[in-house]
Amino acid sequence: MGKTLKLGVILLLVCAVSAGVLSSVYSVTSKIIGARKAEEQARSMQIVLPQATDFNALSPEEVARFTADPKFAEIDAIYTGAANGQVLGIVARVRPAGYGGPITMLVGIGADMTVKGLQVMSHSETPGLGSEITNKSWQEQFIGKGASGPLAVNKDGGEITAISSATISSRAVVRGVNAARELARTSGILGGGSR
Amino acid sequence: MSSPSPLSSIFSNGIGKENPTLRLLLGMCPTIAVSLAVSNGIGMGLAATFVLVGSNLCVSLLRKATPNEIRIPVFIVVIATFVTVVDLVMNAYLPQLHQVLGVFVPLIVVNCIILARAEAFASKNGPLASIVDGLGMGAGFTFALVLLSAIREPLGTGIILAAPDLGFEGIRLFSKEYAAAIVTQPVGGFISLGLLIGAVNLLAERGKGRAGRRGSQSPQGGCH
Amino acid sequence: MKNLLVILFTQALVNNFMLSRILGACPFIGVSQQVETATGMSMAVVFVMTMASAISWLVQNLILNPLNMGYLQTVSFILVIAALVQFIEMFLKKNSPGLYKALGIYLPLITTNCAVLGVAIININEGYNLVEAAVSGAAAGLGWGLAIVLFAAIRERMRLAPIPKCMEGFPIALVTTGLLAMAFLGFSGFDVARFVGM
Repeated sequence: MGKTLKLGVILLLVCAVSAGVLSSVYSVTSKIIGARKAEEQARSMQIVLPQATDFNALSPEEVARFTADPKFAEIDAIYTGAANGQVLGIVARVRPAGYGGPITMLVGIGADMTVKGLQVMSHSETPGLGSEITNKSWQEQFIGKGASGPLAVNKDGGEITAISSATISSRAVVRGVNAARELARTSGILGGGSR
Repeated sequence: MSSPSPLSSIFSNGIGKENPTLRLLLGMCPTIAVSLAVSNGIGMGLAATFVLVGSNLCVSLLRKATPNEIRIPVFIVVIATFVTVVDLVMNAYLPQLHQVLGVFVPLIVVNCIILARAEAFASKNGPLASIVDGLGMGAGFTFALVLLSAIREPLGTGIILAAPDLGFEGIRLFSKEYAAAIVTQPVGGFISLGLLIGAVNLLAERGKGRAGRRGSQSPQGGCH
Repeated sequence: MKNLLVILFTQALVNNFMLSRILGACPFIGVSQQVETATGMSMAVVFVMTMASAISWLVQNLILNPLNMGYLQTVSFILVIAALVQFIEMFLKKNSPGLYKALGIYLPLITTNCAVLGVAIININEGYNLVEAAVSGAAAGLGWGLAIVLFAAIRERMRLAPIPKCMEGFPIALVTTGLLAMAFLGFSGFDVARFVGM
């Protein structure tokens, strides 16, 4: 019994040292990671809704109220963007399912229901094919569109040129943008209620 | 590891005849999963090397104080601690690499190379030799990863040496239209690693034929 | 219920642990000489992966998260898995000699199967609840098992094939795995959610 106890104490000691080392490393790195994430978030917000300067996140309860609607199930965070106290648009974080898994992206929609910008935060699409959704020049074709109705890729008769051999990835991005646009149109966040 | 060998031969062992990936055939999963770009290969290789050196050193220092019955759990805790340190530091300073390597960073814990070296080498040798062994094995793993990525990255994307964390776009060798994306899929990983090991075996056999005539013997790389 | 089906299909086929995520390659190639041993190994893996998924979920959500010590995830999960495998081995030996005889020799190999730790971490990253985590573990194990049994059947037939000497054993096994992975590529992009009617 004494032997087992001794072994247990040694193992416990090793674990305690390990936990001590890790907690001190964590206390240093967590600050850097947190600061970097906040900075990245702020920068992406600026990219997807350039005119706005102040961004406010909706509370998780408010977001949950919208995402209860299956149409918005892929949205997981909503922000309003304002400048000089006037709300200029919304930013939605959407996670549509792509070819290799969910694509996390930010979509900025202005008060006129057009797309102001989009930014792919993370994805697991095929390198060289679906991964082209992160290409800035491909994303640019979305900007300014959406005033007349939901977007679609050219294969489905829409105005967005799909990436060749990556229609599923392209459709996923379009679906994410449409969800954000639909949210902006019907949620009433941008004032004027449902239009 | 019966007789004490000079440090230089301990080091070169890891790169050459006991190369963990190409000769001992350990640690397949990260090798195939991560070798999509040379920068990933280097990142993963250096992370594993850091863990190998750190855990080899600790295991070697603790080898007299560790009772035999609980040595495996103690090794595992030591290795897991170093892996978590790498995970946290990489997340802080190389975020894009951390995201690409994903779950394979914490999975360095179960990379057979590391536990195997702790058990087979570090628990029987002094700290200096253990550090050198860790460096050698890590260099061998990194070498194999870089070799495989240097084949897959250009074939699959037409680009080589892309490193998003350093803001480097890579060198385009040929147009994307001619790149075979399948090479960057798991399919391409399995096949290219199989062919690479086959080629290494062929070279080793040729070398053995020559060495055999000189009367020295070469160890056999074994599947297990 | 439907989301469990989605998890089942996704983890077992679309993101097959061996052929798509590349986890658990060492035992996959090491224990696939015969269909019979491959079947034994895969049953042991399904068992351990389901248990490990559930228990690591509990450790994460009942111990690490409340204490705000998420950075101890890797250390605690690997210890939990090692202890779990040991415990299952002792339990089977005592209470179910038949099952122990069938699975016993494979159990010690499982601690270092990266698919087990992999599924535990992926469950947390995906934000699954306890039931979803257990289903995901079982599905991942089943998918891995399916791959290894198919692979063993191919290898049994390959034994008489003329193979260049330098490609014998490991290299040809990897190339074959690549071809099997190509077949499984057909599952990717398969919209499981729509398939089960969600």
